[in-house]
Parts: sequence; structure tokens; C-alpha cells
Amino acid sequence: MENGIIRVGLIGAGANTRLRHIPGLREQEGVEIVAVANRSRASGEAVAAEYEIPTVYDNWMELMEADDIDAVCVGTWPYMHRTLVLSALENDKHVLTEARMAMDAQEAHEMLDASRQFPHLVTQIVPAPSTLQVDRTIQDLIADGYLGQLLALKLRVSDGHGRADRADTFMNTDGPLHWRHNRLLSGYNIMGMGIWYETLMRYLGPATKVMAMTRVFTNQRKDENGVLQGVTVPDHVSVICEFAAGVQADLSWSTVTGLQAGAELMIFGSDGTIKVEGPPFDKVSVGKNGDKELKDHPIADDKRGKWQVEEDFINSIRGAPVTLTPFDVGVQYMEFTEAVTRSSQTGQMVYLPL
Amino acid sequence: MASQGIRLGLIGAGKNTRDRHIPGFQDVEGVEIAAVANRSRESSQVVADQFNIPGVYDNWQDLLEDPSIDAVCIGTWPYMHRTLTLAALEAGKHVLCEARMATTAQEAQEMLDASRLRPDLIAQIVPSPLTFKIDRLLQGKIAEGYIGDMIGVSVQSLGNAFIDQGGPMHWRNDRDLSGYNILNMGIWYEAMIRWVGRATKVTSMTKINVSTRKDESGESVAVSIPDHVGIIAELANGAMANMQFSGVTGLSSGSGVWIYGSEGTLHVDGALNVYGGRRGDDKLEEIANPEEGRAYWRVEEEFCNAIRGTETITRTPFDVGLHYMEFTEAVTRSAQTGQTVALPL
Repeated sequence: MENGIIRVGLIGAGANTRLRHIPGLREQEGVEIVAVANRSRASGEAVAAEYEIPTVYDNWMELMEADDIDAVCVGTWPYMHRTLVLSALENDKHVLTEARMAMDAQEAHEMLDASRQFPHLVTQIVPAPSTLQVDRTIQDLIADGYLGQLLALKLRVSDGHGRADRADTFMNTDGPLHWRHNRLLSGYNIMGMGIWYETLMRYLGPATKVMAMTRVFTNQRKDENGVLQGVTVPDHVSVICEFAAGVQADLSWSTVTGLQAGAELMIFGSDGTIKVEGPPFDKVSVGKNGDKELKDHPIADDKRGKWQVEEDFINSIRGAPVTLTPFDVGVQYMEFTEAVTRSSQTGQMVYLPL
Repeated sequence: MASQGIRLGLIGAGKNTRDRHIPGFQDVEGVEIAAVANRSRESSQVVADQFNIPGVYDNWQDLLEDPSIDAVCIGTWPYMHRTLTLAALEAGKHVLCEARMATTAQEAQEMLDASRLRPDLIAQIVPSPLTFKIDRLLQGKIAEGYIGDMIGVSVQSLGNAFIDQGGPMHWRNDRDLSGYNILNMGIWYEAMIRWVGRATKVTSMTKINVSTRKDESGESVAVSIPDHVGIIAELANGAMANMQFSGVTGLSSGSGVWIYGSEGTLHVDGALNVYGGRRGDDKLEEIANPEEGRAYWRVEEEFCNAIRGTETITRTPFDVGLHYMEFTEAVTRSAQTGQTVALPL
């Protein structure tokens, strides 16, 4: 860091990096995006030209070796997160990695372990963004005892992530093989499951027992060469789990449930109930014992969170703690993610932590 | 059997027997409700007086020994269904047994086996009536290919009231009386398999949130039947089902069914309105459900027709009852062991 300027290098510059992280970092004072390394030099140059990034490296190893880079933003698919995070830390660079954290729980643990060997470096994962506007309100309602004793939870996530407002959510057997369908690139991650579990942990803490069943209905897709490949990442998942907080939760994710989109979350307590749905997940409905129905709960402006991961990352480099999302939380959601796959593979309950 | 009529005996005359079966049998021509045996002679006499039933027995054994009785309607709680069904068949009487069929799959198996030793006698279970109004509509839509290949089924029946700690011990909370039956799980599962067929694998988790209740004498007793159940099942047709039942979900969205296919979606709301949509549609639209196509409550008539040889039992034969009892037991076993349970047991 020279003159308080934080110089950031981008490794992997996909859609989220271009749409979110580059503009987000540019809004921070004293931050420069100095270099990019993408999958090829050509694609790196295209990004550099579009966003006026001065240096393009042939590959990520060269970027890591550059002395004039203080921090890296890892925007690759999950299969490279562990390798790149470990390399960044060894090269004395702060690291913000795109979510999901890793391919599996083992990789996540290695990343957490590595981060603890470099306590002067910031390690952060891009947080689950869907519910930022309501998270604090739900946390406060629960902490203030609005629900009483926590009992049960139901979450239904359609269109895989619960973020679409469109109707054409039927099974699409003609769709291309996306990296999310590719276990070699995505590991145990399934649709928006990890994102939503990360969200639930903000309200309830971690789960302790997981049972799951999964299906792959669209079990073949064409790769970029037009060759059919078998798909092993599920497109339909049901999970039943118990949280340490005492809640039994019924959770489902699917990309094949036609005419159903978005997501709906209900949390049931002994005295009250909370409901959130969306997109846009900007309102919280609540009801108490004695009420006839759920009603909107007012949300104070100062409680509405927003997308600010780039600001948080820079602030953390300047000394603030990482709140969304630290590596230890990432390990927890990767353990849950792996538990879902293990349970569905074996037909057995999986206890957490692994 | 008297050639003209059917002489029926009631064993157990609880609410459903008084509200449904007695009026139902009284509407069937040639049926006489000849006798009743309830838990005590006094309670039997009350029912006999109310419904003009001529015979009152001290107990069910005496009723079953009456050679003038052709058929019995068993209205007790599940814990007596196996014993009474076996005794009735041995005594040569047709049996209509209240639901749920039994307390365990083993009992249901014994009942089915016993019924097969007496092919001359009718053995029937009172069907799940929850979805009579829509069963044929859903069956028809699925059969005509409206949804394409079935992918997923979701059934939720969540209570609307908040948890009630320290409430009375109902027979439904008492495992000695109810066995593996939980909430209204069996009744929904029986309905569901009419549309989507049977489950082959069951994964479940259950929870007892109200762990003590007060018995008739005001004593606190431990409850071992769950009040919250989550189930994931694989169906024989390849679809995956998830089901939730709860007595602790205040202000929930109640009950509802979603059936997802490769080409279409069907949804049933809590008032049994049916909605559907196909690929290319913008949203679900209500599907007309003409009155004349609907099934309705007619178990007493079906039972009597079957005895007279003019109808075959469809709602509900013992083999279907055995299957739903196996599912019911699988839910408990999976919750107890943390393992997926394959069906049939």
C-alpha cells in the first residue's frame, strides 16, 4: 500500500465482477484497479479496455507475483477459489473471493486455515445478497423475542435462486451446460442453496443435522462443443434439517418447477411468525398469537442493508472487521452444502459440523 | 345375511360414527343398525337412544357373537382396529373399519392377511375424504398429459394456530392409542397417492414441541407423537415429493398441494380450488371443477353395495391401507434412525 492507495488486481472477470465489483471498487476512495488476469489474455484485454484497467497479465500466477498489487478480487468459478486464495495469501495480498466459497468443505477448511496463518491479511467472501434489506430487521425481531421460542421454518426457493420474477421456469432440456451444472467447476454447490443457507445462518446460526434427497431431471446437456455431457449437479433438492437454535427446517430448491418463481421464507415461533418473500425481499410480514393475519412490519431506513461488499473489503483492509462474509462462516455453509450431497448419496442423516 | 337386508352392528360410536356413519347407513335401503357396543354399557345406551338402535351390548365380544349381525362398523381409535377386524372376520362378519387403518404396518399386514382368508367377506377402511372434491379432476388432468412427466409434488398441511403448551392429551397425541399415526399425515398421503401413486423411499425428520400434556385426571403425561413432521419421498413414477405437517405453525399459509411436471403445473389451494398452467402460460389459472364430476362421501353405500355384490371396494381397500401404514411407519423409522427407508417395508 503506497500513500494509502489500495491497488487491486482482478482474477477472473465474469459477469458479477464486471457488473458489481468493478463499479463497487471504483466508488471507494483511494482504490485503484491496477491489473486483470482472465482465462485468456484476449479476454483479459477486452475487460481491461472496457474498464480502463492499465495492466493485463497472461495468467493469474503473474498477477500474484506483481509487487504493486495489495489485494485481489477472485471472480472465477468455485473450482479455482482455494488455489487462488492460498496463492494470494502466500503472496501477501488481501483477498476477496466470489461466492460460493469453494468446491467442498475440505477446500473451505484449507482456506480458513491459510487465512489464520496470515492474520494481517483480510480474507472475505462475497456475501449472500438477496435479503440484505431485511436481514437486520429479522435478526432484531428474533433477538427481541418477537417469535418467542423458535420452532419451525419453511423455505421454498424456485428458479434455483429465488430471484426471478418470470414464469417460464419449466424444465429446459435444451439449455447449455452452464458452469453451475458442472460438478468439476462447482463442486458440491447446488443452485442457490449455499446462498440461502448463508442467509438462514444470519437469523438462526448453523444447522446440526441434515437429511436430503436430490434429483437430476435434466441429466444431459450440451457443452460448448455441442457434445452431450451427463449432468450430476441436482436441479431439484429437498432438505430437512435441525438448527442448533432448536428449529426444524424444511427447505427446497428447484429449477424445474414451472410457473413458480422467487422464494418464500416463513419462520414460526411459539409467539409469532415472520414471513419474507420476493424478489425483491424488501418487506417483512409478521404476526403474533391473537392476530388474524400477517401484516407488514415497518423497517427503519438505517436498518436496511445494501450491497457494499467492495466498501466492506476496503474498510477491512483499513482495519475494520469482516462481517459479511468471513471465512469461518463460509466453512459452515460449505459443510452444510457437502452434508446435503452426502445425505442424498447415502440416505443417511449427516451431523454438522462435519 | 338375511336375503333382503343387512343387519349392522356398531363397535365404538365416537363422533365420526355418529355424525357420518349412522346417518349414512340410515340412508341406505335395507340396512338396519341393529346393535351397538361402545366403551361402556352406559355410553352405548346413550347412542342407542339417540339413534333408535334396538340392541345394546356390554362389550364388543358379545356383539360379535350375535349371529343375527351381518356386518360391523368399527369406530374405535386405531389401537383396537386390528383386534376387532380379526375377531369380526373370524365371526363371519363384513367389516368397515374407521381410519387410520391400524397403529403399525405389522397390524395392517395381519388385517390384510386375515381379510384374504375370508374372500366371502367385505373388508373396507373409511377413506380419506379430504380431497374427494378434486381427486377426479387431478387424476384426469394428470392422465391426459397436462403436466407431462411428473417431477415434483409438494403437500403442506400446516396448522394455523400457535403452539399450545400444556393442552389436554387427545387420543391423537397418545402413541398407545394411535401408534405411528401422526397429525393428518396418513390422511393426506392416502389422498396424494390417488393422484401421483406410491412412494418408494422415505426420508423424514420429526419434532415434539409440546412434550407434556394433561390427561383426563389432570396429570401431566409425556407425549411421544410428533407435532411437526417434514418428509421427503421418492415416488415410483420418478418424481420427488415433499410434505410438511405441523401443529405449531401459527398464521401459516395452511394447506396446499403443488404438482410439477415437465410441461405443466397444478396447484390446489386451502379451499380446494384447483389452478393450472402449462409451458408458455404466464401464470396459473383456475381450472373449472364441475360438481357432477366430483367424488363425494359415500363409504356406507359403497360398503353395502359391496356386501350385495354390486360394487367393488375402491375407497379404501385393505391393500391400500397397508401401503399407507407402511409409509406412516417408514416416516417414524426414518426419523428415529436418520436413514432413508425403502418401501415396501
